[in-house]
Amino acid sequence: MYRALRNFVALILVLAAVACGSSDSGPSSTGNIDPDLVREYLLMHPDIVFDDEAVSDAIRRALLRRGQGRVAEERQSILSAHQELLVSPLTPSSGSTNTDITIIEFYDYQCVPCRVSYPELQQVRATEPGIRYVYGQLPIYGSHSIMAARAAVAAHRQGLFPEFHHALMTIDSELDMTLIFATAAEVGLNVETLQVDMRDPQVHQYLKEMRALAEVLDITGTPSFIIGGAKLSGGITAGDLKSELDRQRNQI
Amino acid sequence: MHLKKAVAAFLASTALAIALLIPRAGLAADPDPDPASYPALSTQQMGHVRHMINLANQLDGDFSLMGETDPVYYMNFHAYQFQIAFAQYALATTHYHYTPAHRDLYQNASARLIQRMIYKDVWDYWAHVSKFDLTDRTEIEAGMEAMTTYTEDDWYGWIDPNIKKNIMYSGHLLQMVGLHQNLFDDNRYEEPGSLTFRFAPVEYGQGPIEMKYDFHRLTNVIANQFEEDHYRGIECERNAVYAECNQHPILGLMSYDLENGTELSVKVRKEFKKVMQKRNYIDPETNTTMYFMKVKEDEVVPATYAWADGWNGHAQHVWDKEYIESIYPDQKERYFPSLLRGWPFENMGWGVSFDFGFFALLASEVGDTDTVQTMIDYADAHFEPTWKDGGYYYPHTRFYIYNFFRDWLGYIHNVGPLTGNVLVGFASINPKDGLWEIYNRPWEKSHFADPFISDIDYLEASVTQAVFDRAKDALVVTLVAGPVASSTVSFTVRQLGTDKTYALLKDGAYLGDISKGGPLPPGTSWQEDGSLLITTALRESHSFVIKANQ
Repeated sequence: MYRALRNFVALILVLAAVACGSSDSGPSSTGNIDPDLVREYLLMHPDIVFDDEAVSDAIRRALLRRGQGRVAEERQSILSAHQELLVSPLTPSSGSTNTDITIIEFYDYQCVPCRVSYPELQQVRATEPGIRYVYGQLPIYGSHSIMAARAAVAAHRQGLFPEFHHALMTIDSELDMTLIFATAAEVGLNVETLQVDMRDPQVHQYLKEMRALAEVLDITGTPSFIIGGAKLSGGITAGDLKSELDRQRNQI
Repeated sequence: MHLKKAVAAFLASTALAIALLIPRAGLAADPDPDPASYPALSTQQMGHVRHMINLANQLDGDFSLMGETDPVYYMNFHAYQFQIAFAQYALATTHYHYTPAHRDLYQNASARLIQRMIYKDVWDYWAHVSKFDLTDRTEIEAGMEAMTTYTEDDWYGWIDPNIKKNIMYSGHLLQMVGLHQNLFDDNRYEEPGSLTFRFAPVEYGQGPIEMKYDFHRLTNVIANQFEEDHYRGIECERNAVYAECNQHPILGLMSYDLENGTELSVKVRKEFKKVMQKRNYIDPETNTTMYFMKVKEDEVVPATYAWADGWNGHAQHVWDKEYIESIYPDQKERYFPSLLRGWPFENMGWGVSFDFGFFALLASEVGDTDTVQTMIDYADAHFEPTWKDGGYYYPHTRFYIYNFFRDWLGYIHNVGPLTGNVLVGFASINPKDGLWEIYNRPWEKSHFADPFISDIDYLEASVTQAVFDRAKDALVVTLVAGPVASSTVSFTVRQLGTDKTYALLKDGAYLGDISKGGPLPPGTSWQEDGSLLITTALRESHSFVIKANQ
């Protein structure tokens, strides 16, 4: 009898733990079971959560999900606090602004995994027109990466960011000023204006703020992607990105 | 004859008239002050500075070029905390001695390094290291049973890196924060919670833990520990007091006293020195610094390590100058020249990588410039110096922690990241009494009202000297090109006297006078906030002097 009750409570605990980890706040599937009774039993026999492998495993997973959920919520709250930056006229973006899902990519023009991921991202952007895509400059590969980021923001002012971005992302060599300006001229940018804008303190301040956002999101390298409350780090395939998008859609 | 005299007189009077009408324009001018008479960073020293700033500017969680965390002990003598802290001290000495009138670059780098210091990956080793006692591990390895009476701390450790022991972290943080406030008159770390430590291990499922500190709380926690420990020094690891680890909080307390008018450091210095003498932390026979003191056993473990003498000595020199200088010759004799060259494959001991760096630092502080130069030449010859993005450093070798051997000619070739990223560069920059002067001749508040330069694009230009000479009422600035090629660069001069007229000289040539409302020399303009913008070509080094007309 005692064993049956114990097994029953274990089952309830597993279900409770799973419910605790999910965002579903709907009716409990425990039917007519009185949660107070379960709680009372647990307080009398706390060892059950350690002794039963299934229970302890479910609790561990529920705690993990709760932790992940907390981190995701924190990210969402950080993004909300930085909305002004994310929709700033200096922030290049593509896709619909009226969407439930936004991808923010933090990248560097000299980062090899960023360049390798670029065609994969193009594929996703082509097949997922409903998402908003934000280009977050995070130059971490030295002085010429910073100059390239300044140039990209300046190119955005001239309305030629997509062309310049594509050109820089498909260059297969280290950047220097000659190459950056030659690339700018090739895509039709006014290089003189570009140079003036690259010195604009507003552009420098903007890049500082974008970096500060990356740091508060605990981004430690490029490329990194923030998709809803999730963070993906490192090079990425179109498949990875689509899986995460599907997961996000299921949550909405 | 009369005609010749008349022509000569005419020419002389014409020249005088021209000189009066166009005073000094484009001509070589009064060389006082001469930029060459002020300290300036050499190309290589500037490279070291830029490398340390590049490290400061990495993302908080990016430790590229900084080595790895030891998978067994979680930290080691080249740990991130030491690289970050010593980079800040090196930049502090650079700013104090070479560029006191160029503040923003160093202030930002200092704040970045403090931010990196409180990033979890730098200090969360303590969650593990607080659980065990390395001194006991040594006994276990020797076949003795130890740690048979575990306390709760022994089992669980604790995550707060400042609250108790771990002075090898908290002491550095205190010194960093104190230096920041002293050198930049920046009191941001007095704000409650300005040093917030966040521990949020998702995998354990627990909520985030925040430990909030500021300059005051950190100071109080450390000062109280000194007292509780009867001034024998605060433990670094459990059960182990290292003399050198305790020097950094003492310097931090000196900074605190300077800002707050307290005398916390006075008592600590006096009492700690007593214990050092009584317990032979520095052995009077050998004049070498102990390895560490085992607290439970109340036993001092003596040593003859160049790193221990270099590390302890360079910092103790700040408050115990005569004593450290009196024992330095013995220490040098003990370690040189055998440290630099020995038998091929000779076991140098596990410390050699930082033996080199720390002893070079001590040599610089006591002003042994020949030894410093010998060691820098040695590093340049054997440590594979590298330029990267305007920075100069010695890349760490593989297996730097456990590589004990010399090369086939008997030279050291093993370089750890603390030595290669920071210590050799620090030694090359630090002048005689470099740190001593920062603490014993601190800037008065009036320093921060003097003219200074700012807003120079770090990518395009390096400032090798920036000094305001108050006696001559003159600002001296020298710029060289940075890693990004640029046709022109600009810098801003702030806090010039609004009622004064200044002469502007470039490379010794007078360019014109500067005054509010008056005509300005080419390449200069007043900005809305009252500061002066100077724009110049920078294909080569240029020196500027802005001197008040008497």
